[in-house]
Amino acid sequence: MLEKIIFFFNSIPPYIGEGIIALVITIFGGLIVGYFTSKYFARASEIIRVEGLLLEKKITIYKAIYSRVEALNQLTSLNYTEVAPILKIIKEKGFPISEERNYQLPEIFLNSGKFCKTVLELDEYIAENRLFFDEAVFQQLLIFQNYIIVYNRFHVIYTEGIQIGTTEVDNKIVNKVENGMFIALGIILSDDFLKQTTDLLSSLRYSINNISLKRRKVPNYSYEYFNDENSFLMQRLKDTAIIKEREKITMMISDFCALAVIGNM
Amino acid sequence: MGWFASRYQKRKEVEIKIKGNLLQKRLTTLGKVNHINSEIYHTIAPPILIQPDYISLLNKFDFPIYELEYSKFFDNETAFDDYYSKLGQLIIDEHIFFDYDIDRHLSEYQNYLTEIKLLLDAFCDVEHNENTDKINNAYKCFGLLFQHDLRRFYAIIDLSIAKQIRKISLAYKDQYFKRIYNNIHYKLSLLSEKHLKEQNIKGKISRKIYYNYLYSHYGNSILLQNVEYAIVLLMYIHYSDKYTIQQFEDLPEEKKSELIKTFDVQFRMNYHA
Repeated sequence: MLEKIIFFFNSIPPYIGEGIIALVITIFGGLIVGYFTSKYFARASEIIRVEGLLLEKKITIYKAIYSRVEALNQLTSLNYTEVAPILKIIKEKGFPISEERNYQLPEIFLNSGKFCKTVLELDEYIAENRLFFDEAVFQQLLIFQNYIIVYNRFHVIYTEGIQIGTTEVDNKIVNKVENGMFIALGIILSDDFLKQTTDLLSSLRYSINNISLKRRKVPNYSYEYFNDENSFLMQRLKDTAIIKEREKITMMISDFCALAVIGNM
Repeated sequence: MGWFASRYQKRKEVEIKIKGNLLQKRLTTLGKVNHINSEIYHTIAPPILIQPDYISLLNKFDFPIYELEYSKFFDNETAFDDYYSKLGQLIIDEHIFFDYDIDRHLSEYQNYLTEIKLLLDAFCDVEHNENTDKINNAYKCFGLLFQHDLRRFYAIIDLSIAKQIRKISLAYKDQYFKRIYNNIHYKLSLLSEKHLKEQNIKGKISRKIYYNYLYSHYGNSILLQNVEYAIVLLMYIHYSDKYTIQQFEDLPEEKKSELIKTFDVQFRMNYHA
């Protein structure tokens, strides 16, 4: 029987055998390609689809942050006569302010309450959506958050000063003087503030215009990263006017506190 | 080929599609966890006029306090209860989508907040839920005292989220070895905790191993290490309408121990740890 089978195969022309082998190779090759396509490539493409959704979400968040930060850049100008008493205090503290007809400053500085509310809302929004950021924007936002929160600290210093002076915090004169103090901060720190917002806007714009599926690195919570004098954050913040001039600014705030307390007497 | 395409490939396609949808849900869950976690850093400071009171109260204890700030949800009883139930609800609703690490860290965080809640609920009962000023004051003090623990929880949970987001995959990897490691870790912790306070060579080795290799964030939280001090703090707040801390300390020994005993009995009756 076996001899018959061998004889049968030997009598088949070689091109039929070659054809069968080619067919088997094709089928197996197809199966292997199909297996890899359905198992690994389909998986990778599904991950990329979800990453795409994350990217879409990230862009929506970036756009929201962008419009909020851009709103902070809205400038307004105040006439010399409107700010003359404030300028006097600023000059007394040794800030070099040239005499001009009009003073330009971000509009948000006109109302201290609105400023603090906007800053806190922005801060909370950033914190809540942090997980979608890419590394460059994450770092820029970290710098911005730490920068902008200093203004809030000034508000706290003022409020505390008023409380020590045993004056009600929610009082017309106190609020008016605080608005004046924020205008003073706006005049002194306008360029510094606009530089920070512009840096952040550039970073967001760059990220939106060069979209990639990259996300932020695993965060570093070490002391060296945040608090050390040579840390990345301190290095970036130490050259800002708000940090360099903070002693003078604190002195100026106490002058405004005194004004509010005296105004209430 | 046709059979392969219709059976295997279709099956895989459906499977991967569903895994993709699950991944989307997992990412939504991570967003929710991040949202609740970020609330730890929504901080406020007590008004400056009463800050000296807090400082004198907190200085009695040797806890690390960096800034006189506390998380918003420690502002009063309602805010804390809201946050606590929000966290509990999140864990119940989304538990199925947690990976091993987030599950573990969130459970530890929930246990930690439960510990705080038990203490503060007992205090509320001692105050008969009437004196809201004292009750809210106790919440604020706890927020100030344990901010270090909360910040550490924030960092741990945020790291886990970042790891998941950084490298997303369709399915969680089975954490078989991690589970074994954690089981051994837990058993070794219990063993070394037993000998931690001994002054002999066993105690010395246990301390070295425990603090260098087995350190648990929950077990070593400032709260769990100092529950008794937390109760003493609540006692000061309880008597704060009658005595300042100094006046309380200057009381005759008999009177003082009587007051301590009265509070202790009332508190222990309501403390269901």
